[in-house]
Amino acid sequence: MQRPEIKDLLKRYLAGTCTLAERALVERWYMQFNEDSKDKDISEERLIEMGKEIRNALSLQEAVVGTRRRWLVRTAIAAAVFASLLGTIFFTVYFPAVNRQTARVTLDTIAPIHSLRHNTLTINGRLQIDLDSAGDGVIADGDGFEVVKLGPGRLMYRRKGKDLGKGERLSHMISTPKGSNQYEIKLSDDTKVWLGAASTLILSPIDFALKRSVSMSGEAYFEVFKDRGRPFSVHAGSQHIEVLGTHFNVESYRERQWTRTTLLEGALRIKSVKSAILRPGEQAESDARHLTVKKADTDEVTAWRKDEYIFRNERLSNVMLKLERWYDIDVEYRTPDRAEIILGGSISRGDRLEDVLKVLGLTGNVNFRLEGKKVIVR
Amino acid sequence: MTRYNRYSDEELLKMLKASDHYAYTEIYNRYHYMLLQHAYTKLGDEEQAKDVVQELFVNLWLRRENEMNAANLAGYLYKATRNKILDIFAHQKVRENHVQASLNDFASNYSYADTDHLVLEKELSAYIERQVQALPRKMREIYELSRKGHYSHREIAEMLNTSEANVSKQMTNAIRILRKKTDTFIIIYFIYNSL
Repeated sequence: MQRPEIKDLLKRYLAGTCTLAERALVERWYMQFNEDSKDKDISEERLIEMGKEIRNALSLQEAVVGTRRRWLVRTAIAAAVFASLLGTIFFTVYFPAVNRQTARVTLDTIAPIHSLRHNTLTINGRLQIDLDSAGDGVIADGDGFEVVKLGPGRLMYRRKGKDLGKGERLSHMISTPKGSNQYEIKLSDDTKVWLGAASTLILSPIDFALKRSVSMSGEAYFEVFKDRGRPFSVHAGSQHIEVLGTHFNVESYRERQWTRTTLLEGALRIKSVKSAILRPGEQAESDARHLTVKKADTDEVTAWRKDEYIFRNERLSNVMLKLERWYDIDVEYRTPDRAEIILGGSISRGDRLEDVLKVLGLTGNVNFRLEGKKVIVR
Repeated sequence: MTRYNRYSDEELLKMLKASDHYAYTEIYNRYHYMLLQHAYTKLGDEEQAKDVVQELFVNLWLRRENEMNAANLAGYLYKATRNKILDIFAHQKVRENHVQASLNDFASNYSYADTDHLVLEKELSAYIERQVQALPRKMREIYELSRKGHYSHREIAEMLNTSEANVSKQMTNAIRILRKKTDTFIIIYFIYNSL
């Protein structure tokens, strides 16, 4: 075989277009390649050192167990008041340098399609509790904590007694399904978290008591209780967010590679591929390789908290991503470039999907067909 | 000590898919050393080896829900590392490239007829096993603890802060209380093999 053919073989192997025999050749060669070479000698200490460097770059979350601390339990409960549903959808559509249309439609306030799936609390990945059908009151305890259901869509963590549990840590995962209303969780430090539809919050009650750290995916709004002695941190996609006491919104969808954090109040530090400090009104967007900070429209970002969704100069694919979560639908693009259309407008939680699609369709250049739970975009 | 080191690879994968960051950390603890050593062996360059492993773990988290259909975590991580390294090889300059020379030599002496998918998988498993056996003692212990598998009754009892005999009774009680409280209570209750 000639050298260029070898390079070509590797490329075809990676593209998955080589023959089975070629695949076997590459894999067998690779397995033995350099195995007996003297160049491969590297000390154990050096490998451990490299491992630590990567660990820092990934900002891994190590479980903390064992230490017991006493502290005050604050029990004040504040109810969240949400704005009532609006019955108007308003869209402006921008086709880049083509034409501009506006459509305005008034609709009755009819609830979106509700999912049969439920809000759940999963403990240690094994015990799953249906939060919707559970009665109010204590629904789980362990590790010296109680989980209390306060009513539909509201949960509270509370310390039970003075001592923490015996140093074991349970993993709690709260998940909202597609189509879910926002779910409010009050953590044991009085921090409040609102989870959007199809989102997940993960914490260990004991670890949380010690170092106020949670992970999440989907969309969540945080009102962090100020405690200078104990910073609060959130892991979301490619970001590690450190705060003292602030209000901020995080979007980290599994369908997208990016994570976006928008700060409303206070200050926070984002650790990702690099570090950045956010000021109010700023948004940090990151993926595996980049982190950028820019000014953001905070009304737009937090509109979901008022059961609205506002978008300006947003790609249709991002608009549909929200609709998928709100209405529990799947979207299929028959004409791929439609996903790139830029739109602006707002949707209220109560709007019927059919009507939302009708209005989006009125803006031209795109057609929707609803087949059961699937929306076909043409 | 965190108890995550006692979860099997399979359990960690499930937890990872559910975005459990501690499971992610445990996977890192369990595999980073082997993968770094492997990447260094093949690449002979510390910076490149570090980049490969770091990128692998960043992607593991980012793609935890979409692409992680692998039942075999070790196999998945090795294959992902291999692809990344082969990609580096494929883009090296042809001149002064002993990687391509080595593959060329190997190809000319190659006489294997067996190209079966399962045979290749077995060869990879055997390769990984050899890597595990060659690990420094402390690293190997981390790995082997996890192979012993599931928690014992006593450990679950400790985890739930109660006595062993109480575990199943408490679970049953919990379900009964919850049933009383609701009309249409749905609980999916399963504890793997252990109870």
